[in-house]
Amino acid sequence: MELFFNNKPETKADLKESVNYEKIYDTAIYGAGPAGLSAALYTLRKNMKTALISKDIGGQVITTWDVENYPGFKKIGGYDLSKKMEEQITQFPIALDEGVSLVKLEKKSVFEAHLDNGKVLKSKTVILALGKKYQELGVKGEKKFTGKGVSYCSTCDAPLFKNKTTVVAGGGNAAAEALLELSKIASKVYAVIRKEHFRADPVLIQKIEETKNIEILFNHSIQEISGNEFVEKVMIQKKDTNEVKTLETDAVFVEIGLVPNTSFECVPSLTINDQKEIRVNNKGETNIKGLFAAGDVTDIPEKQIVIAAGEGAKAALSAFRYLQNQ
Amino acid sequence: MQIPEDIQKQVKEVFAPIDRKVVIKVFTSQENCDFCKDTLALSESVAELSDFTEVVHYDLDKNPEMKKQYQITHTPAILIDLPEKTNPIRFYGIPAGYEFSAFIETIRFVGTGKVDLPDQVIARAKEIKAPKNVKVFVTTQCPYCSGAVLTGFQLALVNPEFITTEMVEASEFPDLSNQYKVRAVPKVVMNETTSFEGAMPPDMYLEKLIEA
Repeated sequence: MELFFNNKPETKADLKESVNYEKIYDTAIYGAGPAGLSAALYTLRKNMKTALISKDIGGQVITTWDVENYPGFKKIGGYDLSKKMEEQITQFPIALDEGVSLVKLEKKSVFEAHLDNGKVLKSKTVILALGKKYQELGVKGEKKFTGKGVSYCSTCDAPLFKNKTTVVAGGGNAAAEALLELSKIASKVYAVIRKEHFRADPVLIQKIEETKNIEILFNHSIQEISGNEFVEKVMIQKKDTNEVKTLETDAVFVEIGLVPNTSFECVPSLTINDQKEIRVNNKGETNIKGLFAAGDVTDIPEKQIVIAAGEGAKAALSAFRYLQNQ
Repeated sequence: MQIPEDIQKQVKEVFAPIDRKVVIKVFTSQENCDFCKDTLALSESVAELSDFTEVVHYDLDKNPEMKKQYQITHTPAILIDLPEKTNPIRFYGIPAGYEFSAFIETIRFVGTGKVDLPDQVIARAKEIKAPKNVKVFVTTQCPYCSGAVLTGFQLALVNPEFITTEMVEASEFPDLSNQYKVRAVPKVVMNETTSFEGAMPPDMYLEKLIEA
């Protein structure tokens, strides 16, 4: 039995406060994953008045079971790592509002960010560290049954489906891990994979192939999720023959990757690539002066925690220099 | 249950400011309780980490009257006494995994008489004058869940006369999970009328509770 715990042993002081929407901050950071938290650490150490806005603290990292490739730690839980990052920044006076999302960003005399709490946050610079979110299937019934059998967090929700039938959509590492986890809990697990092979690591594929209660359906895509109050069925279609069949299931775990959080409105327009990632140069600058971006939301290659943290630091220093030159 | 040494060290630091006695009441039974033994052992191990914490064990098979007295519906259950001997907070199921943090922090809140909620949330929670019950369904593997539990517990500690909060480990109690239609966690059920899934900041959480 595991015990996850992280207190605040290194930094007794917690200087975070709520965002003051009357003020104009030196910088406003949107997103509090490794890129956003690292950016905050650097802006705060430069004495920049910093506001941090995020839906949650930690981002994708907190659902990562173990992190074994972050320097300084042989192995650390993703949740623990994000807590340590949070503790490091709250030793500085930071204005932080959690549970809030960016809706619209405008550049006027200063940046004005319209938030989903109805407030407007003003800042001289902006650092977008919005990360990525789980990609949805985009099929009929998916939204209706989210939280009612459709799940994007297999580690959270898998234990609720003991001795039930479940479907996992996707063929990458996340899907493979969800399949193996569910195979220990559910009575039957269908793997619905669009391609004719897994994209997961060979070691995981081998385990899946050896697991009796996993049925693999290559070349299939989910067309519709249906039920009454909860998920009861998924309709799947075979790619080459268009043959359609229905699987009876209690849950659909969607593990098909991630998409950047760039759905907010931006005036003037941000330059993004065809994968909807924000284009940045090697200083973390976007096409808009004073607007910087870092981490998984950008087109920087290799989405890794350590890279996101480094990019966050770089964007923060660029924002600092931008203000110095104004 | 042996708590790893590095975690013991961290817990001791959290418990350091505790300045009043905290009684952790653990309720167990023999039948249909896979985690009773572990819950008691975990609670006892935690209690050893502070001079102010103490476990009182109630075996409901031997003391069935305690079930009624404390209105225990499921086991294992943990109640943490407030100084006034009221019990506005309870854990149904083992507080392991990510819920271990919720367990430790709750002991700290009770043992110091202080919570981590913003002042305006505390003030508004104290204004509640009608009974409110919060059930937070969790799994021990859910990193978002302990936040929802701790917010509910802190609100109950701020206004124990009117707010009660229960953590329910959803996979341990499939009957409750089915009754409350839990298909995702954290699921927060307020006053049997309002529910939502996912974590929520304290001010929004409180607004939902006031509306419930």
